[in-house]
Amino acid sequence: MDILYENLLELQWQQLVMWLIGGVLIYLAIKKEMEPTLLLPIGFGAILVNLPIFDNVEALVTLYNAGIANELFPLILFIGIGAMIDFGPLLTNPKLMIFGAAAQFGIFFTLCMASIFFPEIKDAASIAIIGAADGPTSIVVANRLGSTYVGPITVAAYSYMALVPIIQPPVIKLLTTKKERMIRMPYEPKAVSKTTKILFPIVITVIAGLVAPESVSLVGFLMFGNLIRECGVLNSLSETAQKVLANLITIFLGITIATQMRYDQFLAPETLLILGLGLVAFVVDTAGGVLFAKILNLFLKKKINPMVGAAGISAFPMAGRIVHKMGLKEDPQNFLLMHSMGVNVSGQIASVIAGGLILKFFDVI
Amino acid sequence: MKNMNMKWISFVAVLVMMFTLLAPMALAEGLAPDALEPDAVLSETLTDGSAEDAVAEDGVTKDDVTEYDAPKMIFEPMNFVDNLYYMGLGMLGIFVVIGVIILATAALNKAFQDKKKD
Repeated sequence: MDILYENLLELQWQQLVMWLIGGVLIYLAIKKEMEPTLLLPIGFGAILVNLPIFDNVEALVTLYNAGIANELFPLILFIGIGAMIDFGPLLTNPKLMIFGAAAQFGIFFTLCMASIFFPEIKDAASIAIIGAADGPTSIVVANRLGSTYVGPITVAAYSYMALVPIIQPPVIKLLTTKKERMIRMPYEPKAVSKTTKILFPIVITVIAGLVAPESVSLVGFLMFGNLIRECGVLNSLSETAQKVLANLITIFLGITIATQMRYDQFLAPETLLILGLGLVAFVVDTAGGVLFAKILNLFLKKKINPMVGAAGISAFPMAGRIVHKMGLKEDPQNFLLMHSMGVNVSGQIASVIAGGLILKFFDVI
Repeated sequence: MKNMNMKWISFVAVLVMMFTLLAPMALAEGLAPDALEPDAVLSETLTDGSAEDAVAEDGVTKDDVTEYDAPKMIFEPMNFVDNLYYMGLGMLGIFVVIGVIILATAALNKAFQDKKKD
């Protein structure tokens, strides 16, 4: 009879807490529709790996070694993301890309903050990259730096990406006046030639390879996906990359990340601190973009709506949509969508380059 | 009052941004935090010396040593200041790369303008 209760007796309270956390993630995914494609598998995986005898789920460990430890899943996912991104709004107004750069400030600010608490600079750098607001980049950087906190970092990155609609608006409102939020930015559509759209991913890959070589795997896969989209002769591949490939990898990625959520690794004060630092990264990213736009406005005749700067936080496409919605809320005739999306996709590029720079600084250590 | 606050926020933001951009120039390469030099990190983390002894005895290089008992968390506020170097260098790096990309994109737009009229 004891054999039936054997597992039950081995159950520890920490495992119950992890089940609860898994349940909350599943709830957020289903009820609140927050990044359900990732939070649901992560939530379920968190329950799965915290069963008393986890050894029975060796397939997950195999998947982790095959897809995350060697960065395969996040990089393949980048092909799908690249195929989803339309760089059109950015190409019509490339100057907007500067906001994508400014909104990475949170990464480096968080690096300094995290170094106060974590003795290993590689851990601090891995935590800082949560501010890239980009799951695959966070996984790749944390893995390559050999951080012991890959699990909490990934969970924080994806959770805060899902929470962008809650995190960003108060920060934007705090840093801008109503008058500033009502600044109109008329969109002047310019025709972008097909040749430009095709050459853009190739040129970006070459520039990244030359200037920030550590980012080339991330940029390369992202831009490869975009080239498939823009070339015009691989429509079926483009659709597969956007839907089937991205979905397939997302399923495996989510549940495999959960292998890093064993109670003995996850339930530690460090995890709470990492979640807190991740929030700091997102807030400072947003503030960096907004304040940079305000600074530029001091010198510009044609003012920029500073909210657009907040869209540089990567988190594609949520950040761009939030700015557009906030603009409409202040003035129903103020359409910021094309500008905010342009900044948003530039944030995607800038966050990847920031990841490359972090690797350049700390990978050799 | 609100406008006044905004001016102050802008002023502080300018200072922060200026500091961010100027930090790498102000800090020469040699002033990069010593604690982040590869050897310094290694020697710092091998606190009890036992692993270091093991390195000497086994003839294994320092690079091969990856496991050690590091303290889990610390509280060293000065590390913030030490790492401002990387903050400055990182932001400068991003602005430089993005600047190059902006120029390249503008050049692409110029070179391959769509001649068709809408």
